[in-house]
Amino acid sequence: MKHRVISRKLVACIVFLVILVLLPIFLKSPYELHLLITIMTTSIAALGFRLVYNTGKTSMAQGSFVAIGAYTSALMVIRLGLSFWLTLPLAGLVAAAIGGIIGYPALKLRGAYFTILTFGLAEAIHLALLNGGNFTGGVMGITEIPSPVIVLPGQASIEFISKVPFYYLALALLVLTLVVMYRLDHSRLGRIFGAIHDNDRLAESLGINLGMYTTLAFTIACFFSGLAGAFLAHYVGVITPSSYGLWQGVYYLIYVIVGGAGNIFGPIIGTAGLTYLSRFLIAFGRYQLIIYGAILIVFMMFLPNGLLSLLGRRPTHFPGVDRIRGYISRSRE
Amino acid sequence: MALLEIQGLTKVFGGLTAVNKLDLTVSQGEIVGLIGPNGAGKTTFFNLISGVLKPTRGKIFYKGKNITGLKTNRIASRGIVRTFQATSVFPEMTVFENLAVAHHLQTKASFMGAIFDSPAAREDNRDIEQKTMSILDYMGLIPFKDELAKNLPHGHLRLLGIALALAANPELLLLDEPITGMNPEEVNTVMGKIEGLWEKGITLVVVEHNMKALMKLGHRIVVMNFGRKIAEGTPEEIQHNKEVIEAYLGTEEVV
Repeated sequence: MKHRVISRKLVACIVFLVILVLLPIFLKSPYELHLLITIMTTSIAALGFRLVYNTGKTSMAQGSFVAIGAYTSALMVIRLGLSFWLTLPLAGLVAAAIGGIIGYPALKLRGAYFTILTFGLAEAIHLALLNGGNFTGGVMGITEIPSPVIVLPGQASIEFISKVPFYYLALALLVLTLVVMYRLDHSRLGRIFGAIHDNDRLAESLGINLGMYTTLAFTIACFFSGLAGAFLAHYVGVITPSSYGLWQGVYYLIYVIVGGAGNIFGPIIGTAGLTYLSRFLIAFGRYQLIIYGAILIVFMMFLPNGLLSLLGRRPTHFPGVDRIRGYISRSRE
Repeated sequence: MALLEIQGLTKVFGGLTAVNKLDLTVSQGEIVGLIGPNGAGKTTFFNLISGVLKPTRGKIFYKGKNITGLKTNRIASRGIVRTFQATSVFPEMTVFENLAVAHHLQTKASFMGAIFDSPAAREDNRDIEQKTMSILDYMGLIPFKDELAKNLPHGHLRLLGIALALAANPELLLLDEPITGMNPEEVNTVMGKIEGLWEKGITLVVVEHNMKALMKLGHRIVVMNFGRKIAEGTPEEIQHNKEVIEAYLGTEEVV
C-alpha cells in the first residue's frame, strides 16, 4: 500500500510561504517592503552563486550577470518596445547564453585560478557596459525604465506603482528559483555536481565530463542572475554600469558562506541576516566593509558550512540519494 | 585478443623523460603486474593511458581504436578505468552515495528527465540502488554504507576506491598500488577481491610493490625502471632476471 507522506519540512515551507504572501497586508512601511524585495532578489543571485560554488568553483562574476540581465531587459523594453513579461525570461536566457559561452573555457581553470579569472571577467563586463556608447548609455546608464504592467482581459490592468506588486513578483521569482535549485540538488545532476566538488579528478576517471557539467551549472546560475537583474532594472528604474558588478559578487560569497552552501535556504538566511545587520552597521560608514570582511574570515575559519550547519544536520550535499532510499523503503511495503 | 596496445609511448616533462619509448600489449583476460622502483614511471604510465596526461610521442590503441590523447571521461566510457595511488573517494559523501555517483556511465535518463523525475530517471535510480548494494556486498562494505567516506579506516578506503572503479563497469581495470600499506590479512582480502574481479571477466593491470602478492596473482609481470621497460615475463622468469634483481629486487621496498 503506497501513501504519500507529507514531510514536516514541506509543511514548514508552506506555512512560511503563506506568511510571506500575507505579509504585505500587515507590513505597510515601504522601506520594510523594499528591504524584503532586496533580500529576495539578492537571494536569487546568491542561489546561483551557490550552485556554481557547489561544483567547486568560486565565481566572483555573478553580479555582472545580474547587470547583463538588467541591461538586456531595459534595452529590449525601451528600444524594441517589448513587454517586460517577455524580456524578463529573455534577459535570463541572454545572461545564460553569455555565461555559457564565456564560462566553458573559463571553467577549465581550477580553484583560485578560476576565481581570479572571474574577477577579470567582472571588470571586463563593467568596462564593456561603461564604454557601450549610445547602446548602453555609457556612464549614465539607462534611466526611466518603465515599471511592469499586467494587462488583464477586459481593459483592466495592474500597474506596478507601489512596492506591493513588486514584492509578489520577487516572491514568485524566488520560489521558482528555489524549486529549480531543489530539483537540481535532489537529482542525479546534484550528485554529479557534488562529486565534481569533492574530487573532480576522480569524477572524471569515472566517466563524468567535467566541462559539460560545470558549464551547465554556471549557465543555470547566470540565467537566474539575469532574471534577478531584469527585475531590478524595472524595480529601481535606473541601471548604470556600477549598479551591479564585482562588489555584488563578493556579497554573494559572504551571504552563501554565512548562511551555508549545503542547503538551498542557506543563501536566503545569509542574505537576510546580513541585510538586516547592515541597518545597524550603517553607523560605521565605510568601516562596514571591514566588518563584513571580518565576518567572512571568521565564518570560513570556524563555521565554513554556515549558520545552517549549527542545526547539526548533515548538509543536504547529495540528497539525490534520499530518492533512492525512498525506493528501498517503499519497495518493502 | 589484444585489448590494449601501446606503441613507443613517451612522456617528457621539461628535462625529465618519465616514460621512454614503452611498448606493451595486454590481452583480454590477463592479469599483468607492473613493478619498478619508485619513480620508475608507473603512475605516469597509468596517467597516459587514462588520459590524465597527453603523451609526447607514441600511440595507445584500445580494442583496435586509437585512443591517444582522448579525455579521461571519454576513455572511461570506452571501458578503461583506473584507481589512484593516494586513495581517491568522495570524502563528503556516504559510501552509498559514492558508489551511486560512480554508476554515472550507466544511467539512461536525460538531464531534464533527471531534474523532473521522469520514469526513466526513476528506473535509473532503482537500477543504481541494486547495483550499488551488489558491489557493496561484494566488497564487504555494507556495514559502512551510510558512513561518510572520509571517516572510513584506511583499508576500507582502498576497498571503496576499487568499488568505485568497478561501478564504472570497466573492461580493463588499472589498479595503482591497491594493497600498499596494508597488513597481511587485509592484503589477502583485497587480493581475493581483485582475483574475483578477474573471474568476472575484467582484464587487470596492477601496479604493486608487494612481490609475493603479485607472484601469486599475476600471469605476466612487466618491470619498469627510469621510464623504460627493462624486463617482461612470467613471475618466475622475472625473479631470476639479473637486470631486474640489480635494479629492484633485493631492496627494502620489496616485501
